[in-house]
Amino acid sequence: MRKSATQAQNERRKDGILADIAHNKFSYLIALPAMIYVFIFSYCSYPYILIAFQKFNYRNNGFWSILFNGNWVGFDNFKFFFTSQNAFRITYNTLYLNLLFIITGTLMAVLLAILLNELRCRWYVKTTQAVMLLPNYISWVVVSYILMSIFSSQYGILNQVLEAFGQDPVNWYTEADLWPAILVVMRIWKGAGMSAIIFLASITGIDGSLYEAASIDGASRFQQVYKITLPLIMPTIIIMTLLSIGKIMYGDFGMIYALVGDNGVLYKTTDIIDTYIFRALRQVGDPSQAMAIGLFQSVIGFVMVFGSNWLTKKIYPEGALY
Amino acid sequence: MSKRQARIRKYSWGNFFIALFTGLFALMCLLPMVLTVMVSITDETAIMRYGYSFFPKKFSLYAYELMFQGGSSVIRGYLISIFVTVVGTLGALVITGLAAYTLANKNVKYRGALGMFFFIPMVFSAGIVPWYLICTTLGLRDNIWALLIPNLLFNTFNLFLVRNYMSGLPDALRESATIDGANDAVIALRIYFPLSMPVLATVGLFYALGYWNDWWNAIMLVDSKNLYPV
Repeated sequence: MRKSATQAQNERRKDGILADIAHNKFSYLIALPAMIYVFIFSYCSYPYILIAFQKFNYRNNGFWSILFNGNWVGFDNFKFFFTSQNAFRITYNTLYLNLLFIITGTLMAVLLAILLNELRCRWYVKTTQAVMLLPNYISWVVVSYILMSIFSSQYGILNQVLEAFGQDPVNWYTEADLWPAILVVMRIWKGAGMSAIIFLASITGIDGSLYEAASIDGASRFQQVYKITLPLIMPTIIIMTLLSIGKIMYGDFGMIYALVGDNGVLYKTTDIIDTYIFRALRQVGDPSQAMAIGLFQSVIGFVMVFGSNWLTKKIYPEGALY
Repeated sequence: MSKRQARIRKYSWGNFFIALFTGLFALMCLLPMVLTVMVSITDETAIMRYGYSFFPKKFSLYAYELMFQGGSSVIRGYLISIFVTVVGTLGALVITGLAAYTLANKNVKYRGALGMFFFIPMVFSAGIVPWYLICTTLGLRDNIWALLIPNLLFNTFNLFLVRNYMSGLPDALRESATIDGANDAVIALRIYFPLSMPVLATVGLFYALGYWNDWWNAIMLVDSKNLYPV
């Protein structure tokens, strides 16, 4: 019985894809919904890239007319974008903000994880952990209302505090230079608890006997953290960082749009590629332009993903994604 | 570990500062929530006069009254959010789980190619413009399906998560079940899915959170106010 099964399998190995489908009907059938979904929403989207080289026509936007009757304009859309001052600004903002998020977020999460690991009071660690996770579960829209109650120029908590100390109130929603800092703080506030848990998990995996040996040799607590904990969780830190660097071209639209919205005064420091595309598409209404910028973003992002993965493979082969 | 525990005294200055720091961060996470609750029960005119405050100067449940009045948009938003979350999560789980089973099934010869098929869009996406045009072409605009289907119904990352878990289950399970005369459907439904419950629950939570907190679909594809989720 077993033998015949393997024999059948060997025979099948020579067959083509159709025979395999016939043999595993059920398996292929149940994968179909996901395949159709991905096909429609991802693969069907690739031909649309062509509209970046066309002048988009709202009356003539069927799938086939884009392919065959498009109004080709070459690289005009790209030229328009790259000669405007926006190109540099939004690219810079995207990279700058994401870099800030990665650095501060990782530092804070590692710090929290190490500190939590040093504490021995079980119930205290459990409670703080649970509380730190809370912000992760509320959406950015809710966060934006919380932010408003803190920063609102007339009624906000912060201005009340400033006034109590005899300072002049600050109009937070018009001070563009302050917003990267505000965004970084909000980002840490929302995400650090969650990433701390990831690092905490890898710290718990460290062999306890290492610390025993170190303390017998007279290492102080700080030395133990510095010489044992940090080097041993370095792979996790590097992998997490590289993963986020791969996504550095993609800003967090949900966050920026919820917190900043259409507040034009703040565009100088907070406008990122994603929000710019969104406005080009929904408010200005020029899909071709938006597509050109989107293509620019996708291509750079693609290079970044592969670059960071290649780097991961070089440094920690077991950490690479593929 | 017990030695280490003994070495570090439970109460020391170092521990005190560490506890203080983590405690402060936790407090920072908690306070804005408290503020929201407090503001929600403060009288509106009091906010106008004194600004937002942790201690309501004048207590009022007016905001909640307004919310629970008949035909209010808030209730409607909640109903839509709940519906979308429940239906969407179930649908997403079924689609993901089924496809993951095929990818983990070692009898399927072309599962590698299939995996590649799912993987390519993950690293190279054409962006939101084609996505928007496709959604409008499919009629996913200004209706409940626009909140349900695009973006959230299936996530490749979750697919690979479930696939990895299922691949970790021993092959002997499948072999013995085949010998006992079970076909693929029985193996999938009676053996693999019950055994994959932990990872399915995790992924289900991801999907549910995604649906509950989603507003991307609403902002992109829905114009009429009475369809807005919370």
